[in-house]
Amino acid sequence: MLAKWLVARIHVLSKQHLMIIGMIIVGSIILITVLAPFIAPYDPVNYQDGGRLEPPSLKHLLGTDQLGRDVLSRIIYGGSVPLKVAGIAALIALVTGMIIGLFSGYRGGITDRTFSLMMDAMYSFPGLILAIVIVATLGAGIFGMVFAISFVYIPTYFRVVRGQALQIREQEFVEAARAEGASGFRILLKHIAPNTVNSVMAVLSFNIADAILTEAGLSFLGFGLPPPAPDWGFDISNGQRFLLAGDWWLITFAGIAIIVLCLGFGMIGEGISDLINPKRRRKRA
Amino acid sequence: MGGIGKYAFTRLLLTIPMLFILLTLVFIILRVMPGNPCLSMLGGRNAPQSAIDRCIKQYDLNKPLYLQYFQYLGNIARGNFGTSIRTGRPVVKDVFDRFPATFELAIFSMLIAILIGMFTGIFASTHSDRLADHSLRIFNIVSFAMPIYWVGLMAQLIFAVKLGILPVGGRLEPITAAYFHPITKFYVLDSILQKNWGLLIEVLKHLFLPALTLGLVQSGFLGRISRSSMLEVLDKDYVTTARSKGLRERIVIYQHALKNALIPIVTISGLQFALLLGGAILTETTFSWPGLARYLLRSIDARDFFALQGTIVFFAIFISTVNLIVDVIYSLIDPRVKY
Amino acid sequence: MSLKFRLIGIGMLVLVLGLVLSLGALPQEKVLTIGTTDRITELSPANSYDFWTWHVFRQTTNGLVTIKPGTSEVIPALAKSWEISPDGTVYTFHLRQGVTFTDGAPFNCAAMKWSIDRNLKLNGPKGGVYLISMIKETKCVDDYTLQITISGADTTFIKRLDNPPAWAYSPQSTPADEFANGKWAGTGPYKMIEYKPEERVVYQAYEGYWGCNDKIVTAEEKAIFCPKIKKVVEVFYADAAALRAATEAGEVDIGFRTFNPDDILSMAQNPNLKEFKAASSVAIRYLVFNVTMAPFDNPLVREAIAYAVDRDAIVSKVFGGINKPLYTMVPPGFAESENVFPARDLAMARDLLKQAGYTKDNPLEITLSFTPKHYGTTESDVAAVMKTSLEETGVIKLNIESLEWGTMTDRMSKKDELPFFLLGWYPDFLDPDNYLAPWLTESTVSLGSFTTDKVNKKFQDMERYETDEAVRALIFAAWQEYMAADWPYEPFSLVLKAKLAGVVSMTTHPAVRGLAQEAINEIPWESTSSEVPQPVVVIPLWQNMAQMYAFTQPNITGVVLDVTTYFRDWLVDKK
Repeated sequence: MLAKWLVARIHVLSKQHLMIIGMIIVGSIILITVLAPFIAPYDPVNYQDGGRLEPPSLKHLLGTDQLGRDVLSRIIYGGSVPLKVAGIAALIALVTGMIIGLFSGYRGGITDRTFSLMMDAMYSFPGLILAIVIVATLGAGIFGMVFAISFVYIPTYFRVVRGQALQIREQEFVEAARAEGASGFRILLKHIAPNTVNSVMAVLSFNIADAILTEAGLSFLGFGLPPPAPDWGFDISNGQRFLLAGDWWLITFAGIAIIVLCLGFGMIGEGISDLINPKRRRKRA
Repeated sequence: MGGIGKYAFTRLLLTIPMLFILLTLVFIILRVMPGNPCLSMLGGRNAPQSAIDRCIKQYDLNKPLYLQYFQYLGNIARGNFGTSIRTGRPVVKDVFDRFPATFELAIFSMLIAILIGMFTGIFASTHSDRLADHSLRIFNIVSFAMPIYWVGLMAQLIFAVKLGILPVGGRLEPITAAYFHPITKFYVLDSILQKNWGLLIEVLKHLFLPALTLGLVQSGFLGRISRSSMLEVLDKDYVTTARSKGLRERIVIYQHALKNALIPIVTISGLQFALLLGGAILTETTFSWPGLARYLLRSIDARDFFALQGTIVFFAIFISTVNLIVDVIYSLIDPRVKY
Repeated sequence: MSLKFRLIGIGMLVLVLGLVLSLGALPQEKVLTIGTTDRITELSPANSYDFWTWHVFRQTTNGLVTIKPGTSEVIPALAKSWEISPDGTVYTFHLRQGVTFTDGAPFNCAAMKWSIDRNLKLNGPKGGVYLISMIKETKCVDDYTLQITISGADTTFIKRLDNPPAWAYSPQSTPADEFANGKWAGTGPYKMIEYKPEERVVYQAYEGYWGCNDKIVTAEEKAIFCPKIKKVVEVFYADAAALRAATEAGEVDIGFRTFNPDDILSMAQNPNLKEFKAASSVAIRYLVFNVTMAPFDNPLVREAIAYAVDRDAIVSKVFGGINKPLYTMVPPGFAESENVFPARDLAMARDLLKQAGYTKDNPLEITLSFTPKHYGTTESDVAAVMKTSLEETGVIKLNIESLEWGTMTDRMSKKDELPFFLLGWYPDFLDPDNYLAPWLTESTVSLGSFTTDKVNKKFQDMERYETDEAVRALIFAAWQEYMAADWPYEPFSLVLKAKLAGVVSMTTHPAVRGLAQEAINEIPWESTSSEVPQPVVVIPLWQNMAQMYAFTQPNITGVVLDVTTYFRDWLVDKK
């Protein structure tokens, strides 16, 4: 039974080229990051003997930075923080947003109105600014960034899930379940929640990509992690002042790394969107 | 039509409690942040404790929090957004001085984003599932995946430094700016009003790179929305009129589809626009654009509570207004929406 | 669809044509443009205390005295001469006659007195008025003679007068009871005609400026005071990269404050730019210890760190050699500067730490805090290098903490929150006093050192009373040596004792003699367990030369960058 289900799923998935490529990209980067200690040619923090601001060469494939560190090694290790921060923040936002959204959408009435108002208030607050203020309060560091980013994204999940919850609760099988005496909690869990998973997954993908960009943006503006930990966002902000001196390799590769990772997540998101909207699948013969 | 008016009015009324919550949220967050404006200004300098104490007293920062809160609310209700601690000028004046710069940037970025986004999205939708579709979809994702400041820096490097054909930043050259007396502070408008075409060109030159940067990055999302809404409409009509022949029919379908697809595009654009304002921080920093977002950053650095509160509230009011207008327009053009 | 294509195409074409055929508005007169990354806060002399705001005042009004460009010599400005009473508390200034404010009002003793009294009274919370807070009384003996009485003899007083709170403002145009906030008229050389926050300041030369008037000044003075270019525009750029790009592209005539060190290195190679720099810098960077927080309450720990820091690594790696290492808090631009901090010695550092109880198996675990933007973008690199250098001892484990400025100042001011951090300094007035007193006696709280060593106060009082330059130099030499001593690892040196004895014998002021003698009595020459001395409260690291560079277009002359760090727009000329 399970095998048949799996095969059917894989058959469907295999037609989603976009999503597969996205998953390969993300998977590779995660793999590289995990295997960093074995792949990176030099220590990203303590090796400082590469010569100052050397352009890419055979010895240092992507060049060195102003403290003599190897850029390639820093890029290999540098995905760890963005992935962790973005991933954890997005998950926290998802769980929180979903819970509040389901609750609010199902209950309706004043509860719903209140929560919607609060979420609207948070939503109308420009995200990056809110994140900056929170980081400035909690201090730079993983905890501060995770908290800031997750806080900013809760309204997004809330909206998606609430919308779905409002829609679904009017449907017949929910009425039926209620008539059978099922409690609200059970209905939420068994009937409504699973139906929101699809849209939430799509949002999650884009969300992680956006969170990575936010984390990089925070680092760029000076609210990111303290040195000398390798981090793509930090390395870009670090390399900014050398751009006009012609030392392009400090920014370029870290930027490309961020783009590729976000691209991967974006493609996954697109692929999932395609999946859940059957109308959009191929129509031409 | 009475329905619309009632709807708008209800929405307006709802905005007030939302703003109230936002104001409270802002107040709490700011006061929870460690540090205060006096220390930010005098810290690291040779300031005796008495100077710091006097500063704190001057700004009522030693009063109990709830008193400061009510003072804050009361002032805002009377339209008094306070005086910026850092600049010494009324926050309202500071905000209105800088807002046109950000707004102008936002509008032009939006235009570029809409142009690129709609073009790629619609083109992709009409060549659905072919190479063009996939490439354009990837292009859309890539543009959204690029860090704004990275794009800005690259653009600066290529166009301003290496090629030297566009300026590095700012809204105008310093010498020109010294002779320019704006009326509305929207430079494009002002130069047109003054019939100064040379000036207009220079203003546009300075606007080009930042607007392109911000617009390009925003276009990705718009491209996605355009594509999916076009697809939705095309699917419906295409199926039912699949048997029609001839170019003319197809053009009619496309035009009809476009009109229907425009509705969600307009809605999203409106929302995007409001969010663009906040996202302009990175662009303004990269291009030395004297806008509101940079003012906000400096105020955070200086712990300038009043400036921060005033600016954020202003943003919120502006965004709510834009949302309201977009919703009203949406309800007007979408026949399915009833009140 | 094709219609859309066409429209877009036409639009692009127009834009491209416009770019190619662009014209700008052409100016008719010679205008000087200066680009900077600094900012103005509030244009109120009684309520501001930052570089560029005070720079604006410097271009638009004068004080009683000023500093001669290219030197650190005090010369007459609005006061053509002055006398000091024997007890050092009464200064009598003889004002120039025929001077007018830019609003036409006459300058005289009444106006000068009004200005000083006004600022003292308003004494804004953000302002630097406390620099002249020792003024007890101002009195007009006659229309052109001003007498100022200060609360106690202080040789630094005359130099403190070269700051905006002590300058002349027209009673006719400057508000009397509230902060000026952009409304003032000074004596010139320029009038500020426009200020757009975050964008620019525009100045226009005042035709009736006294410094151009042959009847009031000598030819030599005219060369120093009279503006060469009549209109100046100062433009604010977002950051060093933007400033560099603008300077290289010719958008501004002069770029000043503050370029990135690496940009300086490559711009120096640019044949299309002229480089100006000061011989040394009075802006310094250093480490601060909160001596009440463990483990930094142990002087051995502080001294060990002083031996372990690698100034050369910082200067070469982070700044490409632009900045210069500093071995005393008083920068070498001052005659009184003496290198008192040790060269790097890892063995010594390990030894000191061993005495303090730290070894490889029991390492010293500490946290260094820094702020990532306030002092430029290089601070994080400095912290990273600091970590490597200190950990090279094998006995230290250093954590780095990045604190945003607002948070940092908050923690700095609390007694037990910030033990060890990086800070920067530029002087309030040009005197070695301003490089020792702030952390050692005056602002031990707001600068986070919390030191209670009273011997420092004796040194401070000595140098403030002493009027003889040679004796004063000796006092400063002794003070620098005292605050950098390796006590209790080694006893206080006999050289120090000799210097203090020298002060006792050479000085003609009984107060100074008394203080020097007290210092000799209080310093524990033999003992190692006194509570009083707290050496090595701060560790100087480097002189910040990056701020002392200006790059200009080739046709610019007259840029003078000296010890004062002032930028005098009026001296610049353009061919």
